[in-house]
Amino acid sequence: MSKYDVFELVTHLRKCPDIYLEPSSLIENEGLNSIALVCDTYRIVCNDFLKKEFKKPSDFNLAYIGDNHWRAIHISIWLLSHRNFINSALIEDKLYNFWFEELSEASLYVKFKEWISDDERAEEMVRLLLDCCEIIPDGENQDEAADKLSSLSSTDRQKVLKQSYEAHERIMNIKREMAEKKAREAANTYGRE
Amino acid sequence: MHNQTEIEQTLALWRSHWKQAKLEWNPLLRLQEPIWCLSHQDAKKEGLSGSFAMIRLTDHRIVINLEEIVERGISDYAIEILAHEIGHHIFTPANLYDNAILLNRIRFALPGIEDRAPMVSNLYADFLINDKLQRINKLRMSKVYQAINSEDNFSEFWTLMMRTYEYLWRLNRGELATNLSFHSKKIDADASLLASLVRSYSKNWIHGGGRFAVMVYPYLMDDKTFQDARKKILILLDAEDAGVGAMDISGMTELDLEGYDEIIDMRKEALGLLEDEGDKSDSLGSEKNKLGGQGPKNGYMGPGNYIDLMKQVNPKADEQRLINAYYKEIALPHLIDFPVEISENVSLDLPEGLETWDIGDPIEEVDWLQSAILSPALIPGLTTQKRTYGSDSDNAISESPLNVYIGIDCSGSMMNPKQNFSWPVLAATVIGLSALRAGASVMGCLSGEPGDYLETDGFITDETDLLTTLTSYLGTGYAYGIERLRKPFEQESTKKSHIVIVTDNDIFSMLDSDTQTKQTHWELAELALKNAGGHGTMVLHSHPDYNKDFVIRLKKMGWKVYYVTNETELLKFASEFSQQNYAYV
Repeated sequence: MSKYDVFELVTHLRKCPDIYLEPSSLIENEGLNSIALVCDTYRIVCNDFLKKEFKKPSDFNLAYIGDNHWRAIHISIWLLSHRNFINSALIEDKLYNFWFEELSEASLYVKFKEWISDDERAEEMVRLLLDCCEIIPDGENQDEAADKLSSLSSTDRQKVLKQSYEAHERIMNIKREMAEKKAREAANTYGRE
Repeated sequence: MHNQTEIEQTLALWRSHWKQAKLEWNPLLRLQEPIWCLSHQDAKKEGLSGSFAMIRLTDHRIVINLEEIVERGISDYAIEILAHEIGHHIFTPANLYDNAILLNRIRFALPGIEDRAPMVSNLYADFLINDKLQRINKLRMSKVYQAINSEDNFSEFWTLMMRTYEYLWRLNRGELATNLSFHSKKIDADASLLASLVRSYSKNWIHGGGRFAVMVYPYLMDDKTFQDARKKILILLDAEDAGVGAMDISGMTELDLEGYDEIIDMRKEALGLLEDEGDKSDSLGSEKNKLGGQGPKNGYMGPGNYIDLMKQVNPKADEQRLINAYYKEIALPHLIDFPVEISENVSLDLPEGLETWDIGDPIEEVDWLQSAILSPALIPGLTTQKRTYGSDSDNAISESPLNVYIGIDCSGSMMNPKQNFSWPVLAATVIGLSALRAGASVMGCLSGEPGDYLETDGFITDETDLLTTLTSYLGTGYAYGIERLRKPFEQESTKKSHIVIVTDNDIFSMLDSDTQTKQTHWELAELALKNAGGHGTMVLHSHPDYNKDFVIRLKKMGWKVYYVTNETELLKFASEFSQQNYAYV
């Protein structure tokens, strides 16, 4: 098995057990202890099970993390349980950025279940994680990896869609106004007759 | 011109792959071998130009231009191309009806540029077929595109198509969309959405056509861009004219509300901007009739739209035939039931003649005397005779339907039934077809006078001639010309007729107008009714209190006057008239 093979990581991600889809205990009392999961993942990644200090948001900021974002974090924790990431101390200080910044933005546009059910979104999460961790996927160079992430990125796509949709709407409004004007003129012609 | 030997070798190779190509879909598939054209001329004769292959849904054939295939250097992809063409026959669009439905839905999504629907429909079907063949059957569809693509093939639209395939098949950027100068974030975003659309609707493809068309709309809305893009992808359009030569496709007049609801902009969907169901306003400017359509219960598409759609299904369709089919289809639910023949037992006691008794006939039927007179030698089936009898019953009531004369005011105030739904034409169609169904003859007359008129050649029983007359348009004069009653009813006819005239208040001006003869129009109307022998009904689009004196005068002559204040009431009149006069037969 090659290291950081995107296809393999996507396959692993899509096998995410249902338990990871539960809400966070910070949102619902019966939910998963998200903080414990995050800390355990840090420990697995750096292979130091006695470590107690981890980079995580302040309690104040934790309260602002939404349900969809928490569940996306849970799913990504399952992804990080893949053996490729175990004992990879170099990525430890990159995870904060992945979980609480990049994934936070992507979660605005992707419903948590889509990370598993949709091929493209699963690949996006894998590539986003690898990108944040500055890992180049197996068989690709840096440019290819960046291009593939960019063509999958929900955040980028959303911005482009918004722009193109607004531009299209403007054109259609002009067309509609022209059609209405033409209709009014036609009505006046009949009126004159 | 390529080497003939090379073309013939390709033919042998492709023929040998035909069976395998069918197996890609179904081992039980029965489909005729393609029509192999060895030259461009042969292909043109079969109606294939611009592409290297095409399908015909009318006779379930595939046409392959082998010369083009050799020229394009795609001889090695026999299974891929043949399987693709078979896919059009058994997957999408598969048959003329589904093809028409898909086209209609795509047309909804392309307001103002509906002429591009066949191309969009072809490309959508290609996506569905190719994705299945590449991913499930593991055929080399991407290689076919790589072989076809050349740098100058590319446009923004074609780049979108190729990028969509790259998303679908997880290919690297530029593997198919080779001209990187057209790449943009916008195309990437749209291609990604299109790829998920193709996957999502692979099993219910008919429901994805509208969304697909909305996605490609911005790439095709500019005429010049479209023409440019079309020229470049002409080579791939193998199902655009799949319905050429198709006969009438019934069931297409009804408004496809389900299809309308599926006209959704996926960009809007992805942005979470979709409105509530109750507040659906189409961003593309496609105007849904607030009443939901035209015709009875506002449930039908307009005739102009229908003609446009059906001409896209079959570019060679005859416009008149289409408009006849349109009004007939809408009239059908309102016709009388087919008459049932009721036969009574009659006595057989009037000898009428003789015929040969054959071995299979009952022995007691042999007329021995007549047989002996014919020949002294009795040879069964040759010289044996039996008597035939007729009925002596003369008290059975025979009811035969009266003919009907339908006169329609086709003056300037009436709308062209080819462009706008026409209630008078529908009403005339209901009465006319009901009468024909009951066994009566019908005479139809459109009249817009002074000016012009158009009538059938007397009372006829030919449905096509009748509908062709009724659905025509004059738009001349101001009213129905009473003078038109002279030809059929100047003399008392041998067969009685009803007269139905659909007109408006202007008929009174016509009745009062100067004929420059001794006989006034009033007198002619009275004479015609008398000679017709049946009911005379003047259907007036008017309020009952208008022109009271004239109405009284008409009624005194024996004319019935039926008022309609709303054109939809014409259908009610036509149904009632048909039931009263023809349903008893």
